Amino acid sequence: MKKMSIVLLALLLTLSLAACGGDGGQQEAASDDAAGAEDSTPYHIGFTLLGTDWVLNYMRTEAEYTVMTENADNGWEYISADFSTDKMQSGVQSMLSSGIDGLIYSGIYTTLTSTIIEGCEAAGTAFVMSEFPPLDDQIEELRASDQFVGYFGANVFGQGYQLGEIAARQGGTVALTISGPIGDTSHDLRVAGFTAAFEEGGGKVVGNAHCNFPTEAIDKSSDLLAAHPDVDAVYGATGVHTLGMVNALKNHNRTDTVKVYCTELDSDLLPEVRAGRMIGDGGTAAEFVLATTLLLNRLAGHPILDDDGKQPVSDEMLPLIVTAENADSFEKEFIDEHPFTEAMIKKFLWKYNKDVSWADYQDFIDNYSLDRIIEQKNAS
Amino acid sequence: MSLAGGFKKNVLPFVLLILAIIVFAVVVNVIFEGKFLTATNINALCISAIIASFSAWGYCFIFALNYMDLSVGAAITLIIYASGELGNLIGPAGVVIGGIAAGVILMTINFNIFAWSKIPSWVAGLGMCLVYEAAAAKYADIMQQNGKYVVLLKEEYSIFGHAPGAYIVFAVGLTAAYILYNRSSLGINVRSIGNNPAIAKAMGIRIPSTLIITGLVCGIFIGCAGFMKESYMLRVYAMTGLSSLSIIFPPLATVLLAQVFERWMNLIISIPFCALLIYIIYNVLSIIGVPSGTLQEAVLGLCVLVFGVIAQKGTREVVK
Repeated sequence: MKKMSIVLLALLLTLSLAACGGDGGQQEAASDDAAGAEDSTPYHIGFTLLGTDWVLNYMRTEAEYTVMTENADNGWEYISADFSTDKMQSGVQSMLSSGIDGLIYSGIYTTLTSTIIEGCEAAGTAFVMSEFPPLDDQIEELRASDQFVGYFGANVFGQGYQLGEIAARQGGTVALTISGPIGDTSHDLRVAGFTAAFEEGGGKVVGNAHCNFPTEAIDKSSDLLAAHPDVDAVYGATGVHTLGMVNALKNHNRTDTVKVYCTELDSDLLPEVRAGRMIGDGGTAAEFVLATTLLLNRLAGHPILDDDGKQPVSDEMLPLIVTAENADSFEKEFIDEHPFTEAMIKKFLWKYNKDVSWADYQDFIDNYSLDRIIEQKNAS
Repeated sequence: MSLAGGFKKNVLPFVLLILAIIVFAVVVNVIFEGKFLTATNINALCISAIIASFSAWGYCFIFALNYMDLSVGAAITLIIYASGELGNLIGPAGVVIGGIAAGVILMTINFNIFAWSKIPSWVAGLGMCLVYEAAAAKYADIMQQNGKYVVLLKEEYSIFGHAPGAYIVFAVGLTAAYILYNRSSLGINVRSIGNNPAIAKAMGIRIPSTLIITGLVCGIFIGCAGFMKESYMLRVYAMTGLSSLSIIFPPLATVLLAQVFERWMNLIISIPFCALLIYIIYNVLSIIGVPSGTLQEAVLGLCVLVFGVIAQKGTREVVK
């Protein structure tokens, strides 16, 4: 009994010390920060990862970095849906049940939107969407929910469209595309964008390989290249699929005659970009950074509203175009380093910047460029 | 006439099938202005078929035991990483050593579980699939946290994914698989256990040790499939949620098709032809403009059914 009392006493003392230490640390952190950083309540944020590939993990990493920039004591958890609607739904429900304060939700499964709204309302959890925009007829339903914070993402159709324009401008006449399975709305829209722009520019898209899994990319690309010996341009809806196409081009000895266009470049494709055989886009991690700041502002009691006083739903942002000229800068700023410095993120957080408004987000969208990012990084 | 001696069977229908494929290929080539029978296209098809054949040979041993292992795809992902990492360190020898060593370790683990756990192999395989997928995803995650990606094999070390390296490995693999499956006591013991474990035991076959040696042999073939895949694709991303099953679809389809032809041709020898046939079907469908993702898969399924019907022609009893 005596021993038990001593153990209990020691435990109580330890907890008291830990509690004192925690408060002190927060106060210290708060005092170190810029004006307005007095609210140091840590939040517990949940994140939905569509699946595990490099780009999606990259987006997750940048969202987590944003959450931790707001407060290093913030909690963070995520689920991977493994590209399955069912796992997305059950994963979100598990996180809501665990008591997260806010949810960063990948909107890719538009059929789940109503379920997510209901779940977040029932749990009293604020949620922000990114990666894939809600359907037009879902926007009002979303805005009617008190828990909906907003949507911030890249223009999926525009991603393919701007590369299609470049491909046509560079003299491409016959093109192939490679993407994920039919029904992957994000990939389908990118391919549709590329096709529209390329054909408006006078070219013709003669075939599209749909890969049920990325491992099929090399064989499906090889089949299409055999079927279309006259092709002079190819478009990959992701870096993973594009790598398969690049390897197939090498096997067919056609790297010098076929120009490659790629959405969501990764650093392994940059040698192709530097060699002038590929042009790609990148930098979409910014969408998750800014979507996360929308959520954190709402949790801090300062929701960002658009010019009409509603939750913002913005899919205007276009990714950066990466060419041989800026490949090194892109790698340094976006792959080797976080694309946003802590100071850049804090400018979008009401906790650190009481003047932040939707105008700042709109300004970012309107002026998003590699030069601008470098300039802001240097200034911060 | 031994069932194991594949060349003693009535091989004529199989030869006729191969001739029919060749005629079909020539016709397609003529109709589509020489797109099919180009050196690069045929080479790409052969290498894809060779890689699938190694996994399929591994599956021959697994199926002969009446087992089903769904973790092979996830194991191949880990083998690819081991092969790529060691390959980038010490060159092509590392690609081979890393691949085979990882294959042997993982398949030995699986077969030990099959031998000692007494749970159905497909349940154990499914469990191990999730474990291996999680390990691969964790590796990818750790790499990403350190600012890197899953391993990308240096192109200069990828000789086993291209001619002539791939063909040399294939020749060695085909010979080894044929001897081990058809001419060795291991192959006979494996089929005996698969047919009736009780009789096999009564015959004096030591079942646990046979299972573990089979796991080792399977590991070598699966390991070869892994290092060749890494050499061919250079990088494979981690897959979770049983997505790695996609890796075993082509070899599984190959084995099933080869089993259809088994009455005419030795299983081990027919596997590369069946793998090539599957890749040819996809290739020709692309050339004639059938869209991928829907119709191509449907046509492949129909082809498998047609071949099955041809193979079962003359069978009187109900086939289960």
